[in-house]
Amino acid sequence: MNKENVIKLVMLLAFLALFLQGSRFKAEAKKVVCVEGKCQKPHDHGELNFHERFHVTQADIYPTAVLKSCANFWEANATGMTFAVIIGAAALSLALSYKKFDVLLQLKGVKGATIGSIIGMPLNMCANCSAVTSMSLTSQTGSSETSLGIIMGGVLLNFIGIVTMFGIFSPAVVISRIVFSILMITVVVPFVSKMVAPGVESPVMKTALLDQITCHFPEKSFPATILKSFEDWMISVGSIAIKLIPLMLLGTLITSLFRVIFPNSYFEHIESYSPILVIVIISFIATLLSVPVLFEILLGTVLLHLGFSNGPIASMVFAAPAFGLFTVVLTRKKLGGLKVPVILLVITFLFAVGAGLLADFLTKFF
Amino acid sequence: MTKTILGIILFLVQIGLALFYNQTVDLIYIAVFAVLTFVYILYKYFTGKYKAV
Repeated sequence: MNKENVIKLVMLLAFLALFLQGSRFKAEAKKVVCVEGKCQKPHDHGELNFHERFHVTQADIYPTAVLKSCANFWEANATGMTFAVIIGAAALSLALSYKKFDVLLQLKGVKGATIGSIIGMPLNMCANCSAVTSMSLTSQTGSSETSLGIIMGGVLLNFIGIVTMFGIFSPAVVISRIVFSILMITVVVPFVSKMVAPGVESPVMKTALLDQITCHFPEKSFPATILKSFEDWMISVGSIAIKLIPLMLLGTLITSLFRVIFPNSYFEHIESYSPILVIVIISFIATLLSVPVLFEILLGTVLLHLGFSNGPIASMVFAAPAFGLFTVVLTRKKLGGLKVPVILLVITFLFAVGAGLLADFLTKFF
Repeated sequence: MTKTILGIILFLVQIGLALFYNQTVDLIYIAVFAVLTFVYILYKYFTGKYKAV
């Protein structure tokens, strides 16, 4: 490993450490306070059961409600998505100049999915942000398995989320979520990746500037190498941002369009339906929703307070953070069109129904 | 190169917006590094160092 790659690796780890220490752990702690009902401003909670700048009311006409919801989603995701670009670009810059890392990203099958999920796990991000990181990192090379593994690992294997859920929900809910998360990563990801036509998956973007990063840089001095590493990172940021930020805006808008159709008040009407129908409806809503990290737990607590059983709660905490409308928009190009992302969306829905049924079944043992 | 520079500007707007929402130390550090590196890239761009690309 040459000096340039060592600096790039240190940069990547430093960005991740800065993000986790400076923003992410604090944001997660704030959400846990709200989840536990110890929040000082519960009246300030909006549609996501968390503090929101623009309150969507019933008096709002549809376009106003969508715009407000979109602004709230964008704000909730702002720090995470910014860091997703920062970290994704640092990882891309490293992958372009360090071939061994690049080879790792090209692994296929269960291996690729597992490696991806291991890379995704420490990110502590929701599907939206981890999709941005994943699409950045694998924009030049990298298999579909690794790309999807990063997204799923970041979302479903979030350690803080799992620990928080054990403190709030029945173990039946958490066990059900863990079982279906592992199945999603080890079975579904390799299965759907086979449907991606060979040669389609990379590169997502082509720019001669990124090709320059792969060239060996004569290491004249340590400061010059540091400067080159920062320059490579910034060029990667620029190349990614121009492609992904407009898609991020589109994804957020589509999620908001859907969210306004099914607000939290909708859940109150379906509570009296048959248990299986409730699980199916909640799974459908949660699948199309793309919520920021740990917001699935906040939505789970909404269902808990409304008196829903463990089944619908398990469906919500599995599907809401997983593959959703936002992720479909972002991964479309990497996965060779809409077919594979839509199949993943359908499988997420079916798994959410499965998670709900399993949680209801397991409830008798706890 | 022009597209990449536009991308960097878009990213700087995004980081500015994120700072408007949450003034966290980590974002401030990275924003400073990003602006400095962008100035360096602009210098190279306007002095024709990226001409071949």
